[in-house]
Amino acid sequence: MTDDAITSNDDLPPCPPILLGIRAALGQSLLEEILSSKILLIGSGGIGCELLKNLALSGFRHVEVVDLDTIDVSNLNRQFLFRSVHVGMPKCVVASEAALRMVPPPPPPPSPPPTPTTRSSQAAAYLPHHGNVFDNSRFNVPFFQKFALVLNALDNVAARRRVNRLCLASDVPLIEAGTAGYLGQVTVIDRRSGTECYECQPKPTQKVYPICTIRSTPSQPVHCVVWAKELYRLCFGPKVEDSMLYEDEEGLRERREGDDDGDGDGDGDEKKDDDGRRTTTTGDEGSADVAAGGAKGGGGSSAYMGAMTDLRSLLGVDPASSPGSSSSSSSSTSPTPYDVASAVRSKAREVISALFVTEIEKQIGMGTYRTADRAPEPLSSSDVDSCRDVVPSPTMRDGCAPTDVWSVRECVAEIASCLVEVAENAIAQDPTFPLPEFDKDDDVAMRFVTAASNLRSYVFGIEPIQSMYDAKGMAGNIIPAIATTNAIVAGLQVLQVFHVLRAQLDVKKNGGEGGKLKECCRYIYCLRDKTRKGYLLQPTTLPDPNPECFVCRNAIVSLALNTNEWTLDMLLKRVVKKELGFAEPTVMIGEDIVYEEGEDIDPSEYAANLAKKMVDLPGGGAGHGSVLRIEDFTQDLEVEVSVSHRDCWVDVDEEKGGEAKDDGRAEMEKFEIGGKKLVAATAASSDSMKGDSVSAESDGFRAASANEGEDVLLVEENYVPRGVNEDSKMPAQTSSEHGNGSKEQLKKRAFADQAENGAKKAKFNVEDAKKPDLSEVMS
Amino acid sequence: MVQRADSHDDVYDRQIRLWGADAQKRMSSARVLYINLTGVTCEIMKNLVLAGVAAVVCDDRPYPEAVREMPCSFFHAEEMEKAMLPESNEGEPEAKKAKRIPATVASAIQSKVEELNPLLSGRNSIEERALTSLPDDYFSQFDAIVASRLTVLEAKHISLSLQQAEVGKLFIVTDTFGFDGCAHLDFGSRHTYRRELGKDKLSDLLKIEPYISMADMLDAPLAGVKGRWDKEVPRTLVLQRLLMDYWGRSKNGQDNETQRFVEFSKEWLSLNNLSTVGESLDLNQLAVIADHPEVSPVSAVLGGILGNEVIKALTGKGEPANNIMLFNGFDGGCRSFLLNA
Repeated sequence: MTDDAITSNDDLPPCPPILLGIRAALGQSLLEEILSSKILLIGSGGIGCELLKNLALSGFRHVEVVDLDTIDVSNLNRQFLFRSVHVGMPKCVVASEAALRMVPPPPPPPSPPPTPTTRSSQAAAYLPHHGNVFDNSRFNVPFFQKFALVLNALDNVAARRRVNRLCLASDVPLIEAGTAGYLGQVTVIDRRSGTECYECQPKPTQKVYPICTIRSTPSQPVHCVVWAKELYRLCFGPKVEDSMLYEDEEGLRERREGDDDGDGDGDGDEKKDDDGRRTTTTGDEGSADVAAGGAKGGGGSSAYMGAMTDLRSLLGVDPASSPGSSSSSSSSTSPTPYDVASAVRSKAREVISALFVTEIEKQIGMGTYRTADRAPEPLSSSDVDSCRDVVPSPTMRDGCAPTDVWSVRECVAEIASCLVEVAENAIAQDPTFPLPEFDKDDDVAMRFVTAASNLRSYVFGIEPIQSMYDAKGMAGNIIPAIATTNAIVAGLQVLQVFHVLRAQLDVKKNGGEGGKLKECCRYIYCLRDKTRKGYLLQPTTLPDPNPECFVCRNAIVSLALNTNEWTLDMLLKRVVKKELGFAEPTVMIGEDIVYEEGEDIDPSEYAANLAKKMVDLPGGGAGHGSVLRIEDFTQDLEVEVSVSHRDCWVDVDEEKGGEAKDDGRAEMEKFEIGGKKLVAATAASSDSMKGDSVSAESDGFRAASANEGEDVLLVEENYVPRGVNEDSKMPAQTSSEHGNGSKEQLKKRAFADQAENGAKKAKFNVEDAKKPDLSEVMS
Repeated sequence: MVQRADSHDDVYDRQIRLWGADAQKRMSSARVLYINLTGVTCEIMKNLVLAGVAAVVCDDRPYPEAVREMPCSFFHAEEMEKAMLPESNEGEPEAKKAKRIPATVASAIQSKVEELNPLLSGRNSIEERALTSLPDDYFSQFDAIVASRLTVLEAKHISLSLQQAEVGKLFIVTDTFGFDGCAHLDFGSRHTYRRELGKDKLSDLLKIEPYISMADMLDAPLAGVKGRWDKEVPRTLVLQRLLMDYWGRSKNGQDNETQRFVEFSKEWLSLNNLSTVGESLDLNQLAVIADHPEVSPVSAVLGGILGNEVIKALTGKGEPANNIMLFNGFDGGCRSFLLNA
C-alpha cells in the first residue's frame, strides 16, 4: 500500500486539508483514483450511513446509492445521518445529501495555468436511487458496469444474492459486509481474482416449525408467538384460509390426518427430554379420538371456526360473507359504538372460550396429550369472563410499560380491547383498517399477539410468559444493531476499497489482467471476544470459490424430487425462483424451451406447461436422469439441473441415531438440491406460498422472516477461521485450550449479515443452535 | 394504548435488545470526557452519543485551524475552509467575526453533538479551560476519559489524578497515524466486569488481571516489552509513543519538516534502545504521516473498537481489552496486547 506513498509534500498539486492524511498514507496517484472513481453503494441503512461518511471524508466524489427503505425511529441509534425530522423519508436521499456536505471542496486552484478539467474537478455528486435493486429496468449489468466497485450494505440475503450475481456478471468487484449485534464480517468478491462468491457457501435456511407443534403441541414461547400471529391472520387477515389455524370441514379431515403424521414427525425433532411423552401417538388412535372429540366443537367439527366467522363479520373483515351476522360496516345499519363494543366483547368471549377452552378440551379428548408430561389446562370460565370489561386491559393502566408481564385475565382483557378497537376503527372508517398483515410496529397487532401468545403459554404451562417487548423481538424477528459494529465493518470496507483501487490503478499503469485482489484484500471477522492471540478483528485470506457453486462456477445442480407429482409450476416457484434465486427463468429440456418469462414474453405461451407434471413436459419430459437447462438473462446466469426421481422421503434424525421415519411434509417441500436440503437461504421471497408465514426465527443459524424481507444472522456452529494470518504464519485456529479460543467462543463467531429487523441476540442464536428441537418440517 | 415513556425505548430498541435495559440505564446516566478531538475520538464520541452516552468535550485548541485536517462527520470541510479565509466578510468587525466563528474546537462542536442525539439534550457540555489549568480532582467526575494527542506528561498527570481519587474509571489514550492506530487502555484498578457466557448468562465478578495503570504503562521501558505472541515490542505501539513525544515537542506550532522528524526519531529510538525496531521504519515516509496522520476509515474502525471498550467499562459486561489495542489498517487486523510493566 505504501509503494508510492509520498515522502514529501513538495511539488505536489494542492490538496484539500482533510485529504492530506489520505495522501500521506496512500500517495498522490491513488488519491487521484479516489477523486475520480465511481462507486456504487447498495443500501443506506446502518452500514450504508457509515460507508457514506467514510467515502465522503476520504474524498470520493462520485457515489450512487440504491435503497428502497424509508427512515424509522428505531434507526436513529446508529444511522447517524438521519434525524427525527427525517422519519418517513427515503434513506438514500437523506443520506446522500448529508454525505455530500462532508465531501471536501476541491482545493483552491493553483495560480495559473488552470489544470485541465478532469472528472475529479467536476462537482461532487452523491446520487440517490430510491428503488429496489431487483428492478431490472434500472439496476442491471450495464448499470453496474459504470462503477469501479460496488459496496454492499444490505440487510437481507435475497438482495445480496442479486447484487452478487450482477457484480459477477458485470465483472465488478463487490465489497460485502454484514453485522448482527457485536458480530460482523467484511469480504471482497471478485470473479477475476478467484474468490468465493456470496453464494459459494450455503446460507442457513429459514426456521420453520412443524404445523402440529404450532397447532397442537407447543413447548416453547416462540411456538405460541407463531400461533398468535396465525390467530391474528385468522381474525383480521384478508383471506381467512391463509391462516394455518383455518379449519373447514373438508380441510379438517385432511388436516387431522396430517396432524397425526406430523405428531410423530414433530416428536423426532423435539428435545430429547420430551421423547417420552409423545412418541407413541399413532395415526389410528388419533383418528378415533378425533371422531369423539370433534362433536364438541360448535358450528361443525371445528371448535372455533364458527365463532371466528361471526367475529370477522362483526369486525367488518368479511363484509357480506356471513348471513348470520347482525352487523356490518355499512352506515345504515351500523350500531352505535357502545353496541359494537358490547357485541364485540360478547363475541370475543365466545372466541376465547372456543380457542382456549373448547379446542383444548377437544385435543385432550383426542388423546393428543396422553403421554405428555403435562397436559394443557383450559382457561376457567371466570378467566374468560374478563372479556366483559371487568378487568381493565393492561395497556390502559397508568404507568404500564412494554416490559410488563400480563396475568391470564389481563391477557383476556387485552384481546377483547384490541378487538373492540379494531371494530370501532372499522366503523369510523379508519383508513388504516383493516389490518392486512401482521406488523410488529403496529401497536394493536403487537398487543393482540402478545396477549394471545401468553394465554396459550398459560394453558400449556410454557414459561417464561413474554412481555410485549420480548414478544415483539420474537414476532418481528428483530436483530439487534449497534453503531460501533456498523462503524467497524464500514471502515474495513473502505480500507478494502483502497486496496481494490490500488490494484485497478496497477493494471492501468502496468497492464495485466488484474484479478489479484487476494494479495491485498482480506476476509475480516469482527468478534465479540478476542481470539487466543488477542484479535477482535481477525483478517483471513479471501476464500477460494466452492467448485460446486452454481452461481460462480457454473456447477451442475443436482435435484431430487418426485417427478410424477411435481408440476412445472411447483418447480418454478419452489426451486427455480425461491431456492436458486432466478428472476426471469427460461427453462429448456434439450433444445425445447418449456418455459420463458420476461418483458417481451407472452405469458400465455407456456401457460399450458405450468400445470403439467415434470415427466409430461415437452422435449421428452423432465424425468429421472434428465437435464434441465435454466437461464436468466437478467443475471447472466445459466445452470444445468440434473434431475433424479425420488418418491420415497424419510426424515433421518441424527439426534436419534439415524432412525428414519415417515415424512409428513407437503410435496413441495420434498426435494433435495445438491445432496443437501438447500443451496442458499431465500429471505424476502414474495411468494406467499402457504407455510412461509409460519416460520419464525429462533434457530441458531438464522433469523429472518422471509415474508418481511428481513435478514438473518448466520452463525456457523463449528466455525473455524480459514487461513488465519495473524502473524502471517499462524495456522488456522482450532485450539480450544484457552477461554478465548474455546469452542464456545468459536461458536459465537458469526457471519453476520446486517440485519436491521431480523432476529434475536447473536448469542441467543448460538445457544438455540445447540437445541435439537427445531425442525425444518413443514405442513 | 401502551404509553411510551418517551421515545427513548424506540430509539434505543435495537441496542437494548443486545445489552439489556439495565446496561442501557447505566450508559444513559454516564458521562464521558473527550480530550482533544481527532478523527478517532470523534468516532468514539459519535458512536457513544448515538448510543445514549453524554459527552463532555475538552479542547481549547483554536477552531478551525486545529481540526482542518481532521476527517470527522461533525465538521464540514467546506465550512472550515470558509472560516479560514481571511478576506471573508470584508469589513466585518473583528469582534463580530469572532462571535460568528467559535474560538475553540470545543465550542465549535457543541451544537453538533447536541444535534446528534436530542435525547441527550442538556446533558452534554464543553470544557473550554486548557487541560493544564484543570484541577486535579476534575477528572474523576467522569465515567470514562477518551483522549488523543496527549503528551506522555499530560497522560501521566491524568492517570495519577484518577489513582488519587481511587475511582475505577476507564482512561483511553489513542492516536491514529496513516494506516495504523493504537490505544492505551486503563480501566481503573477497581474495575470489575462479568464475562458473557451465553444466553443471558454472566460470569461472577472478575477483576482485571494484571492491572497496570496508565502512568505505569507509560513509564515501562518499551525496549523490554514482549508478549506471548510478540518477540519484541509491537511496531504500532512504538509508533504511537514516538509520535506522542514528537507531537508533544512540536505542540507549539513550529513547522515540521521531514529532516527534523527524522533526526528526532533517530534520537528518540536510540534513547529508548529501540534502534533495531527503527531499522524497519521508513522514517521519511513516517515524517509525512506524522504531519498528516488521519485517514477516515482508520479512525472509523478503531473508533468502533474503542467505543465497544467504553461500553464494556460503563456496563461491566464483556471482557475488557487489557491494555494496548493495536490496529493495522492494511490488513484490517485489530488485537489487544498486554503491556506488562
